[in-house]
Amino acid sequence: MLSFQHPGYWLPAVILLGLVLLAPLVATHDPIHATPGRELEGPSADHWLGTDRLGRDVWSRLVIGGRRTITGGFLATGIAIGIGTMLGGFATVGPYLMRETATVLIDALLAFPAILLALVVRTALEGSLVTLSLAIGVASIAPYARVTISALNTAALQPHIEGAQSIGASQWRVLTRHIVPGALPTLLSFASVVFAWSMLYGAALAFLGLGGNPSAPDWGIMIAQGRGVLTQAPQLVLLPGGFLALTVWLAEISADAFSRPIRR
Amino acid sequence: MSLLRSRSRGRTRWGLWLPLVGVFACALSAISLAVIGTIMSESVDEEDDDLLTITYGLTLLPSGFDPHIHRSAELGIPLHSVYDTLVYRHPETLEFVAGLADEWEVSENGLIYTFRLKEGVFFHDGTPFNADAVAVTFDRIIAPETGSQKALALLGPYAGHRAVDAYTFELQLSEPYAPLLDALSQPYFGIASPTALANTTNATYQYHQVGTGPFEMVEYIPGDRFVIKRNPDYNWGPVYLASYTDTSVERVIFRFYELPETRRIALEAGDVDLVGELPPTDADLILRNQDFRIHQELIPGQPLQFFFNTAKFPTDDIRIRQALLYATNREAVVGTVFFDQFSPMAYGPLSAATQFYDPAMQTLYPHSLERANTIFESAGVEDSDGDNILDLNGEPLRLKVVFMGFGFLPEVSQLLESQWREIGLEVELVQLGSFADLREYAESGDFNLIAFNDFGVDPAFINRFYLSSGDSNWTRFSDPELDGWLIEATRTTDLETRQELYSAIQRRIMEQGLILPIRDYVNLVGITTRLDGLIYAAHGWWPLLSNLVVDSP
Repeated sequence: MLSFQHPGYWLPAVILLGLVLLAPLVATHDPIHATPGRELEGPSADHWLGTDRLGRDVWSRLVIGGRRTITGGFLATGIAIGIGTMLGGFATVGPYLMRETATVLIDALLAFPAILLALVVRTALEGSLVTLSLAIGVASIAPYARVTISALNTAALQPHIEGAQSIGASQWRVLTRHIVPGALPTLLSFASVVFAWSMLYGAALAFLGLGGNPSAPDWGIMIAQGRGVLTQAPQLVLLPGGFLALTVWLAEISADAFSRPIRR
Repeated sequence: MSLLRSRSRGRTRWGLWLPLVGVFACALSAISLAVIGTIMSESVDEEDDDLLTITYGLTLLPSGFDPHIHRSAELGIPLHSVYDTLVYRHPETLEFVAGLADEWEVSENGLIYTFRLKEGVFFHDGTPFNADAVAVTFDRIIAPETGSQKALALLGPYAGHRAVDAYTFELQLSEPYAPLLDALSQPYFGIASPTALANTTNATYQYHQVGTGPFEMVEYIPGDRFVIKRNPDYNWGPVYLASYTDTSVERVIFRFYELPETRRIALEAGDVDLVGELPPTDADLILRNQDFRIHQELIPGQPLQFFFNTAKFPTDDIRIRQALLYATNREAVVGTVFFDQFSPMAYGPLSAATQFYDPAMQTLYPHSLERANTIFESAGVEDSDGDNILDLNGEPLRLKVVFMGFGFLPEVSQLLESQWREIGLEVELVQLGSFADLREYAESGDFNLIAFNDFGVDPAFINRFYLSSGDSNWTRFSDPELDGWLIEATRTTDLETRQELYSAIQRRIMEQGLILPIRDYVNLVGITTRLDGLIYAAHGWWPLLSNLVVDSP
């Protein structure tokens, strides 16, 4: 079983959720409002981190943008885990035909580079946060399904499974009480990795101009928009980039914590 | 349960495979390195290296460089110097001057144009120029298998052509068509060598183009370069072309810089001597660098603009459209996105550099929130349900704004959103990736504003946007009187009548609030101070490369 005493399990999630929930409280301005004549200003009492190319408050766009980016990451991870676990499960424990079908499906999905898959899905759909997350989530389904297969198989080969079977435990009990809990650390750890990927893919798509509404504050969109004035105002790229890196790092800490050997 | 099936498998024999994989990887790397080395060492024709050469940064990789087939304005940048056209437009006076035709006359009924051609002109391959050569080029343009994307449409009500004698060429129309000479002055009607056309196919001609112009084509390698060099025998150019001197540019290598951010860097690094369409932020930086200057070229045609959809709530109401025109602080938008020094504000459907532009448009729709509010009040617009969004007859004023993701349209749209939210409108921005997507949206009608603009000196090209039956009538506006003016303005060749008609047309379009004009298009060209004499053709995009001289070679 997992033990949640290590702060690495919950602290990053708390920080990220806190940022998502508290963003409107710490934002000082309307992130979409542009003030004419106040473009590309440096930090001031009014605009803590200055203004962007169109005269909008960078701090407010950063925190509200984080909200969008992180929510998108959670949504995409949810899609990848939901469908990925299901496919991986089918490919491992289902009847023969289902196993083979799921495996072929996973292999076919794996054959496409993730970012290409995300691009295709995103191009086919209209741009909104949900479709963007869907595109990114779809890209991570196959890797997640693969890890699920491997984690379930590894857990199933443990000696205590054989022990449980030999004392007459039912198939269902063996699966739910022994195999799945054994695979859980790997699955949770990889979920954090998928979350980190999702945010990076999301930023990449937004950077390519596929992030939907360009005025929506979003770290990827901010990086893309700051690129044009990189020499004059590098902070417009470095700040959202830094926040993105920090968030991905937090997710990786979670992944580390989940993959630690469990002490009882 | 299948999960519990035995997993013992034979061990993989890595001992055997590992060296093989290693050898394969090494071979692959060696091949890649060799290929890269070959590509890197390839240089532009060394035999021409003693020529006075400049590099010109193009901003777009056109789908093709065949002027009779393809439509991009970018192809004219090199090709305007490779070909001559029958007539030219003077860059300053916009008058028509002699090209390959010394003189021309139009029949009484306006249906037959007769061109008297120059003698003693030769194509770059030595083929003599005559009326038969002109006929061959026109045969090619009108042939359905050529698939002309631009030239054919520019010909309008074309009815036929013939070589009357060796140096007389005749073009027949089915009805009078005022923009004909303007069309013929564009590189899409560059007269090509019949020999070269006979030796190539429609697919291959673009790599082996031969004209009579001041420069001859050397080579075109798609995605890499387009090279032209001076034609030493050229002495039949239009009056405004400078004559050849010791410091004239002798060879131009065109390279492609599609990403706007890369252009200034390429210029400052010395990779190019001249590059067009700099982003205003970068042009502003260039101004502070004394090794370069910014040439601002006004492009005639439509300004950066949004068409209002007159068939969708709430922009189906003329009062809402007019209120939006008053409420929009266009000066602020233009100043922020394009900077004041590069920013002629637009006031109407034609930019100031366009023929028949009416400056009276400048007094319409000054920025005034008061006037906007007065119109809103008289129309009964108010926040009737207390959600901070204005309503008309109980329906919220929600605007869907559609645009492509380049040309600073996203920036402009975001500022419009910011301004309109302030006065209580809800705005949805839709950014699209391609013209095909835009066209689809325009045809679906699911938008309130859609951004698009086209270019041209003769305003006849706006017919397809404003005629009720126009193929790009995205405003969905229909007015028989406006239709009549538009059609008459393309039929009559009398300049005064045309001026009157186009003034009435511009006024009607603005009074009806069919468009939201933002900024006249300016091509911001960065150029090294080493080069002098940069002039562009009347249509704006095409440089007169033979006028370029090098200060200090």
